[in-house]
Amino acid sequence: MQYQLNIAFDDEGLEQIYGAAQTVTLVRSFTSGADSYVAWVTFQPFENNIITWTESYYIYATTYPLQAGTSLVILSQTQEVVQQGWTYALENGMFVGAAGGASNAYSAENQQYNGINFGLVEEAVINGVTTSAPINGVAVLVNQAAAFVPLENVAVFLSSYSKNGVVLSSVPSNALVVTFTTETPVANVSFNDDTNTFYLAGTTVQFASQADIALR
Amino acid sequence: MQYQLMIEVTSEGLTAIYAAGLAIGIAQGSPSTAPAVLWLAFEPFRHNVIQWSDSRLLYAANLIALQPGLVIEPVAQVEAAAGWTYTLEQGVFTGTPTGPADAYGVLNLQGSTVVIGLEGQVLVSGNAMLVPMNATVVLNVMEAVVTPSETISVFLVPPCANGTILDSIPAGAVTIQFSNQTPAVTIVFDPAAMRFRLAAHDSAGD
Repeated sequence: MQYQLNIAFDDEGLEQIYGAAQTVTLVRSFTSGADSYVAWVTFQPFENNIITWTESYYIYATTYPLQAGTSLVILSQTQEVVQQGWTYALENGMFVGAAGGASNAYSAENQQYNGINFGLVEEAVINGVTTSAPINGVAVLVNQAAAFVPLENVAVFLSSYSKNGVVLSSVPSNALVVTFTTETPVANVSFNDDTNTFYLAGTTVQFASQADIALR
Repeated sequence: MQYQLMIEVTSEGLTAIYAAGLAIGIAQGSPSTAPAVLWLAFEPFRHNVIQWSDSRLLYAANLIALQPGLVIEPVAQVEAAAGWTYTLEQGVFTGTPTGPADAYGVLNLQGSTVVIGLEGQVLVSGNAMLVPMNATVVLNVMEAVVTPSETISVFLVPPCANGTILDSIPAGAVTIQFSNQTPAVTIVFDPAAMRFRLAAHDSAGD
């Protein structure tokens, strides 16, 4: 399933954002397996922006600490997209998958040593540029497992972070949370210059191209 | 000055390293350095990031010889400035602003032989640690000069503690000279040769 988030700004909004050295920041939501908020995507906006992604994930490992402000570096990740109902064990510095684990979750097991954090990596295409970054992070002790159940919710807000995969202390209370479903895979969001917040302009089932949005 | 070493290991390389029961070792110096101090030893991932600065701490340890296998455990430390001389007395370093240029002078008034050296603060894939980088034996009432270096070697080593004294750096180690012009280097592991080599796009020699 592919999802698309369209975000529109007027020139005044862009001036405010660039003047304050802010970026558009997206954070994914989880029902399970997210001890820390991670800025999945940060980018400097244009007037019209298209972000697309699919429901496909990799599991990653890092020893970078889950402390606010840390830019997580993926040290190892699964070679293939992970499957629900499988468990991916980190052993000898790399992941090996085998059937087993919660049927609705992506599971990871630490067979290496203490002090390693696990999470999911997801690709996004931002205005035509593909990027891949962590969307969550969880400390997993050796011989323990974690189950990740991501939601197709995306929180949209401004932040001062310029890198993808940065650990956040929290998601601002004024962030706009957009819920995607198979019935509403596309959402149109606009920026309110007065409140410096985003608002939902509507959800649709039609995917828009960059050219379509430019005409609006 | 900040330096960064990236070490890339393929799945085949990881399999070979772990199957041999080895870890990645990093030490200051080159294969001619003997004895040497194992600055870092760690179990690798696919991508490994080592970052450090050229700021150093001077340390003293209660050892009387650089016996391979011993682990250096500093008992006194001071933030060191090049061109200064530090007197160790009653377990405390006291600095005076005269000494060898681009190095650290030491005077041992501790009343016994000690081991003196420099510690480097380093981030190993995000984890901060402070570990001895080199060591020299200083007899009582003797002076020594400790010289910093940004030349490091990378090799495979049986798992052991950071700060372990080694006979020498293995002959097959890859040696990298970091400098203002070469602050970041990427090396790769060659599982066929069981050694590291510079990645193709880096210009530093080995």
